Amino acid sequence: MKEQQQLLEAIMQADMACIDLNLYLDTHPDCKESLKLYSQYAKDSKQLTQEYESKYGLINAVDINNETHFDWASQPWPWQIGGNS
Amino acid sequence: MWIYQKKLQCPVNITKCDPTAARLIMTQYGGPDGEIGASLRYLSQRFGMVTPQAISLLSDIGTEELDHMEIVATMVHQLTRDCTKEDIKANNFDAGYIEHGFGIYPQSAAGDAANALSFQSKGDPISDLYENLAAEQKARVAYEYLINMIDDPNVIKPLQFLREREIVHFQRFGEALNFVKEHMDKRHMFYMNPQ
Repeated sequence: MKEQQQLLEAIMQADMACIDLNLYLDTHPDCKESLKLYSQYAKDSKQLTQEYESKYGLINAVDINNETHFDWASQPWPWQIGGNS
Repeated sequence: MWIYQKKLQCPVNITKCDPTAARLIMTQYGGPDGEIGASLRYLSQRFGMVTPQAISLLSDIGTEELDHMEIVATMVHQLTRDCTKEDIKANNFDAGYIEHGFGIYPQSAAGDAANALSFQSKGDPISDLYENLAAEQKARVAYEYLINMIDDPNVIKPLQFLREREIVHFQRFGEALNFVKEHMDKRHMFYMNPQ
């Protein structure tokens, strides 16, 4: 597997854990174990996203770091070739 | 409000053209048990909810369903992006092609356009949550029927992912329903200013 895809999938995994824990915490708001896991995965996701964006392209428009061109519009979208892998 | 992230919740990498599968899968976009209906239903129902658990759950699941719409649309797009005239004809995709080309149009597998009549927002927490429990089960079964009809493992994988999410959502809605029932069974005291 290409390194870019590996990194993107690692982000997807961390975010998936956050989404699922978020739903669990909606109905179990005092579960300490889930709260701990939630903040750990959220931290992982932030770190991995930063790494991905510095190497391959934007996931969040607000993270843009280019003073001459708006990368957000020109980089591939998730359904396009190269946008999801 | 919502902020878009340029990624999907799970990987979708389909390389083989299959317009028949595309037509069937489109039902999970805009069909009677599709993700559009689910998302709009939850995001609308939350305004009539009574407990914090149920309100946050409807907001969060409604948001997740927006991503599921994008996953399903991505699948349909990738299943049709390399289609030839022969592929369209051989797969009975021609009627759809004449009306929408390869565009993503919310309709059922049978060709009926998305209809708000297929989802409910009743302004009543109990009936809305029961509606959602049934909807999650119907969507799970729809994904199972799709998996039965499709052979390409690259198509089956995201369908399995989406099916699993229906099971989790069903579980969470059941828990939210318990909170709402508990809340409604409580003795409510109302204080009035005699003036």
